Amino acid sequence: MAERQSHATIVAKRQPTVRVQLPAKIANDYEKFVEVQRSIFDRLGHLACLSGFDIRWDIVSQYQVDEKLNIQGIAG
Amino acid sequence: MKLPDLGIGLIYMPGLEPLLQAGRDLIDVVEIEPETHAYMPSTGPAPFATHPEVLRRFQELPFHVLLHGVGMQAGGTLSTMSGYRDYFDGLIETLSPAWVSEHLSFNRVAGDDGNYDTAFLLPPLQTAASVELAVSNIREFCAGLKVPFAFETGVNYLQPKAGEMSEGRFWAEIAEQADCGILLDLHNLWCNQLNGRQSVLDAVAELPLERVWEIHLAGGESLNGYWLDAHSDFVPKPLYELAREIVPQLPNLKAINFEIMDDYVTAKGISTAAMLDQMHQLRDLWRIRGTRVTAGNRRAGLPLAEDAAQLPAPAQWERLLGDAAAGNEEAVHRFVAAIGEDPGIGVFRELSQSARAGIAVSGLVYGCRFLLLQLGRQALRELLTEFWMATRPQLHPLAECRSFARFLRRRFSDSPYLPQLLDYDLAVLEVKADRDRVTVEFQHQPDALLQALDSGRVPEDLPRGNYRVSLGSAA
Repeated sequence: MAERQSHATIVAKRQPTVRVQLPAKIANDYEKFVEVQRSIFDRLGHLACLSGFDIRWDIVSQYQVDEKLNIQGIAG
Repeated sequence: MKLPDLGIGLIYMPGLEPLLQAGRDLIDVVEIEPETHAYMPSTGPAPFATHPEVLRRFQELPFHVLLHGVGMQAGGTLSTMSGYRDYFDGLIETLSPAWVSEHLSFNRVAGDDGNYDTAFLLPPLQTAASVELAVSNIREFCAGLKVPFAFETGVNYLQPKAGEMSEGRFWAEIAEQADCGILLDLHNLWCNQLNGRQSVLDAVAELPLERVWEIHLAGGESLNGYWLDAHSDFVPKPLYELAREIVPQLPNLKAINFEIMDDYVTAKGISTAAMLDQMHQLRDLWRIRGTRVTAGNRRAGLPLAEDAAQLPAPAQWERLLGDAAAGNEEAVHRFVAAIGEDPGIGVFRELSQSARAGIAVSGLVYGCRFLLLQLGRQALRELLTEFWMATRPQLHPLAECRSFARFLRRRFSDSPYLPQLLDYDLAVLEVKADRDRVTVEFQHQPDALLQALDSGRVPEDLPRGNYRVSLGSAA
């Protein structure tokens, strides 16, 4: 989120509406959390329509309950 | 048909870029599954589109490139989606693969209220009618195709049905009648063997080995007693030993590709060094290709049993299996009544649901995070299950997320925060696709709301106000 904040720019503050601009690529921190280099490759397609087990639920739902962000071993 | 020797490589995933850099001198080929990196265009007839910068990255890769699609429905009765062939032709033009391949499966089904997606590739019934269908699909797709075509030998979690052909014979008939190549996915065959279908070596013995251009290798994991083609680990040692028996028998093998999901690499802490070791093992296999070719000892496969005639036609099979894998319990009962009990249906259901859960939490990031914090993991899972039982899966993640957002809005119409979080999540997805700019209205201070969720707190008593967050595609 720190990255998102640093890019967030309040471009207008005119009562009663505040307008904030964000680049979509850094608009949430899931990609940052999993620490993979997605850069321009956001996961837009139906990645899991192949034949395996999609572990993103496990990653995200455990992330939410583990304050230390410890995800080691969840897939193993 | 003379194809170039490409060598060893892997299926492209963004999280594997460090491996591509470290293994630049070891890796020869990268196989791209274009739909994985595509988005749903907001206008126009094309079912998929790829961002120009993504295509540029693919073009810049210092490796041979292959294309491996999932949108053709090579094993299904529904024709390829309108516009798909144009999309695929454009990729061939841009990336110049030596050949292209597709799964011998289906993931779209004709339902009562229109066609629907299954969220997962499903296997055809191995009958003469399915052979005829697949041959017709492949011939139609190959008409005018600028490069050769191969189909992938698929995984099947169901038990063999009385009267079905063996896997080896089924694939052999299709390859020969369609006059195409075979992408021999050895981990799929390994799964089939471990889960009660034909053994790897028996299946291979029935194949026209001169048509095998490419091999896929992968690792998996177990679920409820089944071995899954999860692309989650290194190649199991016994499978690698089988590959050492099979590869020397292949006179026209042109590529060996390893499949692993980057999520698993991260979650298991698999190092780049360990991945490079795996690539070296593939290199050892590559060196022995075609060194023990023997002609004329291919096994013919069993003759078709008399009860083959009682098996359902392809369209009926697709409906039964598609409904059971992606629908509610009633659909499972219909499958059991028509085909018989099969615990493999439960596996397909779990896999389909894992795909839908993954899309929901990685698409509706803040909406799901809010619900996780507010309600807990179990309650969100129950909500997802209720959603899955009530709705069909969608092919595109954006469409699936819109569908889940509609469900959540109805359920939590009085929530002070959830509707604006869902608006925001969908706006992010739309801008990541092809919208230049999307503005989201917030009734609470957006930074405070999102920061609370980022730090794992349920937002409380945030000051009200009128805010607009404008999301754009450029920083």
